[in-house]
Amino acid sequence: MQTSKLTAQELAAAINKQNIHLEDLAAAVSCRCCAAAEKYNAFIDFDPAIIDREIIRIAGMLQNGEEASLAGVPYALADNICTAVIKTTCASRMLSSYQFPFEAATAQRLKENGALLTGKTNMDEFAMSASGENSCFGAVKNPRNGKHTAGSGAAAAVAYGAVTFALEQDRCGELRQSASYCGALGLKPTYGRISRSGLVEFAPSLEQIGIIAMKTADLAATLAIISGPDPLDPTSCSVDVPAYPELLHGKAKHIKVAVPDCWSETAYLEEVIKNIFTAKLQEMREDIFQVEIVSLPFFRYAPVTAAIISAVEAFSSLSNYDGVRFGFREAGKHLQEMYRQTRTEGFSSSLKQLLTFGAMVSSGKFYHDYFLKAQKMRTLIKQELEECLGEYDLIVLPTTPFRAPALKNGFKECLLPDPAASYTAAANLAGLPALTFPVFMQDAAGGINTAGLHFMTKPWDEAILLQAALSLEKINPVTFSEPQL
Amino acid sequence: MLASKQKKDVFGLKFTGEDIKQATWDARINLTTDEEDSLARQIENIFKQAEFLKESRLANVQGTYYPYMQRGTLREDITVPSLPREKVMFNAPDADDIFFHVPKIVE
Repeated sequence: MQTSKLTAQELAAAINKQNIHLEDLAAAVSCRCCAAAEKYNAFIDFDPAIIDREIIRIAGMLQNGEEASLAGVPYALADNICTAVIKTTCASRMLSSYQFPFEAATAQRLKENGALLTGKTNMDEFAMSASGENSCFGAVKNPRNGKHTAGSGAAAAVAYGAVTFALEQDRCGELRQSASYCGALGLKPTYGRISRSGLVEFAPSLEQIGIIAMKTADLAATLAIISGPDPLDPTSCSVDVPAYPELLHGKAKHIKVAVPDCWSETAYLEEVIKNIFTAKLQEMREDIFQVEIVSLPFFRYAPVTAAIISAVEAFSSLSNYDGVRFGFREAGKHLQEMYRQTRTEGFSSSLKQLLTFGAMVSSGKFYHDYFLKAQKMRTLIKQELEECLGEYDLIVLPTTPFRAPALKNGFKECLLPDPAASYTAAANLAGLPALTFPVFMQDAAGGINTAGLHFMTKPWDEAILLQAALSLEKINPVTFSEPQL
Repeated sequence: MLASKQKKDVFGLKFTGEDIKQATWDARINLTTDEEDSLARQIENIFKQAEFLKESRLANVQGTYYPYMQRGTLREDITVPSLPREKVMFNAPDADDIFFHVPKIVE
């Protein structure tokens, strides 16, 4: 049986009924993950022994008759989501041997539901961007074109079919950008929907753990498990969690969609993306979507606003990496020199520049003129989006202004702001749920271009994002990067 | 190279190499000359694009620091055991059974 073609619920049902043996599943998953690690550098230190240990644990659960709604469903965690069984490096020299003492709340919930953890995926250092090139473990190659970036190992592993889903952090859209580059679905839930306990903090007011998968049903099944309040994360909210998988079986309703009129004025917007987006809007109009153009004058300020806030929060969040209690240490003659040497040698060039910018904007004249005003602009952007979503079900845009960039392997600048976040950062500023849906289009030379349609909606209404994705999935089938054997 | 006294006048607000030097001190980081130059270009870029922050309509707007305000985040005051000491010390770069070791504070 081709297990990677099954949905999470189908696979779990087959495992629970013993139609698929756990040993066979382990062999198939190990083989796929090993290939994703070797070909695309999707995993950090992939170790098949982790899968073997997980299989023993899941077999024990089934023998004890424990409920396991995700029994044997293979998944991966980005390497800034902590587990007690695998080290958490954040793809940084600073934490290259760090072993977290707890499970992240999301990892714990998946464990309790029998999901199969395969390993930790590669990413930019501390998930500071989705360049796919800023990891101390090397660049992540795109499984659809190895000369281009995957954005993150989580997206590469899912698009290649190594795992059914992966969890990753989304701060200014990194999860959605990576999913779009690799031709996968990516969901950033509402801020507070999922506990961030056990996520290594970078910009805590913006970031949220999200899900990458190849099927809407898998997003729904995973979201239902990992959502809900957590006493260890005071920003997680006590809001009812709908039974997402059941909601997908309902009749598709008419969906009213807004397109911001400024979408085509974005810097670095490729002609290919423009054409794909225009064609897909037309396709949507012929389906259940009613598409209208709206004016959102503050939307265009989101990437700069988010870049300023994010840098200041990162400067604060990463201030405790000083070589005293954990992580990398570089020797110094005295304490101050040790701090400075440790941070200089432990962080990458790009991250050091970002933290320096964060320190600058945190201080003196820059604090009032940039950071405080950026927080005020955040209010206006949030209000504008919420007003628009009072009238429309969804806001739709391209996910990124360009396709997956080519890998450079050269000096890496810290981009301020990151142009990849042009369409995605607003959802993080406003805490809104957002989803990227992959679209593929053949060009004149016969090549396949991969892009993403990006949807945002009201807080806590992830269900409508999933319903829209399901509708699109019926007319735009999502395929793996390679045939699944 | 951005000389430390050279002023970059961006949207009426000047930043200098000294500002970057001060920020590297605040962040406890050393940057190479190439990194300083690269960062100066990026700061110039973002400050130019951030001109909208001058808008007078921002004057009476409250900032948003978290997307949603939380209520009642206090939980029951229940005593739970601390982490075992060996787990706390496990990741330390230099420690004995009880103490983290660091260099002396003054040179």
